[in-house]
Amino acid sequence: MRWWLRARRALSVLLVALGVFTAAVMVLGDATVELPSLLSGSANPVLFVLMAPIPVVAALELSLGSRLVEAEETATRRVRALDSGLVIGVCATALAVGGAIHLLTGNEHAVASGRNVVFLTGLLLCVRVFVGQPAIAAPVLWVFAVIFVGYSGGGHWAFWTVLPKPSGDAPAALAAMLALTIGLLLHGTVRRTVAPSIT
Amino acid sequence: MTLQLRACTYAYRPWARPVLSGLDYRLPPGVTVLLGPNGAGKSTLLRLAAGVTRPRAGSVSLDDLPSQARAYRGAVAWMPQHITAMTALTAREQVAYTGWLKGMNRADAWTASATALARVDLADEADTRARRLSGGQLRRVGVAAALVHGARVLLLDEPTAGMDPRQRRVFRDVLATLTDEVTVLLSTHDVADLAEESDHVTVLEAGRIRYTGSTEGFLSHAPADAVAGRRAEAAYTALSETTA
Amino acid sequence: MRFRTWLRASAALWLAPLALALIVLYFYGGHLADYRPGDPRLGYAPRTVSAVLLSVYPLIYATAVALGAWESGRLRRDGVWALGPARSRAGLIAQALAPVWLLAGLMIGLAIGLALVHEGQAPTVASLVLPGMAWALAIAHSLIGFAAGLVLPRIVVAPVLALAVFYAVAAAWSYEPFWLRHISGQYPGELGFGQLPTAASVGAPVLFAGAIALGLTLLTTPVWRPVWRVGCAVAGCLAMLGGTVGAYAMVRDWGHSPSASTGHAQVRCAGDELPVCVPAATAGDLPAVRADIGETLRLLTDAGVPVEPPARVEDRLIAEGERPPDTWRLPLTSLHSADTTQLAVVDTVVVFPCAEPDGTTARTVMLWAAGVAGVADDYLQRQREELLVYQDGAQILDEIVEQAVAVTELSPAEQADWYRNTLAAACAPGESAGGA
Repeated sequence: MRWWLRARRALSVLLVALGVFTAAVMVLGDATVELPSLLSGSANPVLFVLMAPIPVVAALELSLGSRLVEAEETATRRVRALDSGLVIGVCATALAVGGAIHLLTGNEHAVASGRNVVFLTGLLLCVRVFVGQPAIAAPVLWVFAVIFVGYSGGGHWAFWTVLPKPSGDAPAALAAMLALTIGLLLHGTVRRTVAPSIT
Repeated sequence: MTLQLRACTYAYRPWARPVLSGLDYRLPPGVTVLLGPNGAGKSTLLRLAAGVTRPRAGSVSLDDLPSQARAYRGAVAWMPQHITAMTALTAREQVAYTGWLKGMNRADAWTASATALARVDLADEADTRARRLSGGQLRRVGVAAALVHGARVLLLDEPTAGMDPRQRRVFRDVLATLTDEVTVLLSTHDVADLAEESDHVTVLEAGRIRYTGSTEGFLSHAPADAVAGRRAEAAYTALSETTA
Repeated sequence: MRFRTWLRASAALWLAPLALALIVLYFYGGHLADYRPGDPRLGYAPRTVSAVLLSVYPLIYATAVALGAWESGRLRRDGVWALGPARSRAGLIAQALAPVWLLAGLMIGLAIGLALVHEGQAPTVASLVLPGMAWALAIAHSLIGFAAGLVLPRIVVAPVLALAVFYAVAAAWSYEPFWLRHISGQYPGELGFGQLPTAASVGAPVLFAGAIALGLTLLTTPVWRPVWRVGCAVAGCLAMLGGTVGAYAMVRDWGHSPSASTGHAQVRCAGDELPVCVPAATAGDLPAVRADIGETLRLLTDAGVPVEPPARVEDRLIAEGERPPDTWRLPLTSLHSADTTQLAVVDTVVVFPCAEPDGTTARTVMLWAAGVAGVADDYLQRQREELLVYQDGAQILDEIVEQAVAVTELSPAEQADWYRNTLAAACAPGESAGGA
């Protein structure tokens, strides 16, 4: 398992990304920035911390893609289960980090940031089985979609946005768990067909 | 143990032309060389035999074991055309990791990795990062990874590509030391080098078997005036012209 | 490489439909909702262009930096550098990034094209300054992304840079200290009629981003000789530092708006004794405007109001530099459109000797003077709106009307005396205007 962890660059990539996430959540706090929306001409307040999950999600994509393809495709060990465990571990760590920051500093958005890691990871996994590495665009495009069309005015974010919802928002938590569950299911069962080079 | 493909059809996309169509193939014991032009389906056949992909129709089995069974994967080793060079692993770690993935425990995999690298004359590079190895060295890592867990069936895709003559000699010596219980199927473009040192030859063309049989039978297709040492090449050319 | 292959190999091609669709959505959903075009005769292409680009700078730079990083990673993954190419490194980078630059140009062109077509304006050379700046900055961002992609995995660096740049540039208008917003690459203001960005307002962000791009490129250029490697590293750091400091020096004294140069619109003037100048686009209003100004001055003079006629009256739209003391600057075009030119002249002529005259007294004087000029109704309409905020606003209005009417029943000489005395009384503490 040590070799599998090293192959996945768990220490050099995932741990660093979680560190960046922790620092981002602590530093960005509840700072907002006015960003332009497509639905109205004016700018809407968007939390800086919405982008904090992206380094973790990108690092997960890098990690999962760091595979000894030929051996893992014919392995007797359950590598996909190990990968699923890795994903769950990273998500759980992100949630724990968010909870700890909330307890220590009272930051109201910390737990939500952990939840957003879960949601965007699930989204990544769902798209990844179909397009491979470029799937990293999906979480990024989701953040942009939230910025561009997520604010319906009157101080309300649309129900589908998930990311800007407060920590205790039940539908958002449910959406995150659902996304991760579906993503893990797809990851565990769907195999991408990649044609070999001509020979 | 006999590896068999029954009526296998495979296409990389549902709407694409099948690479293999209704292929029946029984891998004979010993060393079999798989020949064929580019695009014939050699890599596809090896991938099906390795259990990496499933046929759209038909079946692949090792005796009674279907290709998706864990025991099947434990008995079969696959070396693809392109060997991944892991960023974070040394040559020995990469080989040991393969052994671990094939069910070996950590200690056995670590010990076996050293032995496997020594067999392919790469012991000196055991602690070199896989990323820093040359193409030929990486292919030897691939061969070592195929040997590490003592598989009963070795499926090797272009194992000698990028190797110099000395390294190819080492590889042939490795083949020679394999016991009678190990079946090898290797694809190659090195007709002259390997065909005459194998037990069987299979020629694949456009997804169909053009010839499968003993090496002597294959070589008998060479014209009488074929130059000694190039009979395999001549036999292959003659077979291709016959079917064209 | 064939053109089609060259395009197809680039990720810019795949991202183009989405990027261009966002520009269109931004234009129709965002820009048009906020944009107030003003007098159609005053169509000014630089203003139109500056307004539409305000929303799309962040998107363009984010796209460029992400694609730069992605293409860099692609070259690394495909082993291009390991092939030992015979073509120059700069040439290979340019070939890889050219589709990105093309896409950035298309995004800019689409945004300004939609805006100009919507306003029915043709682009001018001057109107291409800000788009040119945006394109230069997009190139710089793509090079920054490319350098980052050389050393870090593109899977991580492309999305992180995309969001970071988008956030950083989109939020620039709210930054304090102000110099940060002036080097961000988002020209944080809409140009007025006859205005153009100054060289510094365009040069500062280009210098900043360009220096970062140059510095990172030098830092990531593979050099064999150790001495040259150190030299490149030092030069790279110096470039980044120097560019940042230089850009800061250019903008450090600016306020929240970037500097703009004025007086770039064509001007038309009429009148020898009292020249009145307006934009050439609204020169058709000149005779009526001159007539209004002249008539009002005559009426006030005849009523005994001391009038110091100006040497020149000019529209604020074409104003340039500091106002000479004998020049009046009034928003003539909009005043004429609202038919309030005469009232504005009264406002300008009636000058109290203190900064805060007594409210009721001052209003009474103004109402009387407006009546002399024949625009009492306009003044009363304005006061009704102003006095709404006061609880006793209606009472105050009745009071000033009563007083002003009482004054009009005096003889012209007495009215003139009353005007002079009340002007001074408005600034004397504790006194208010009375009747004759």
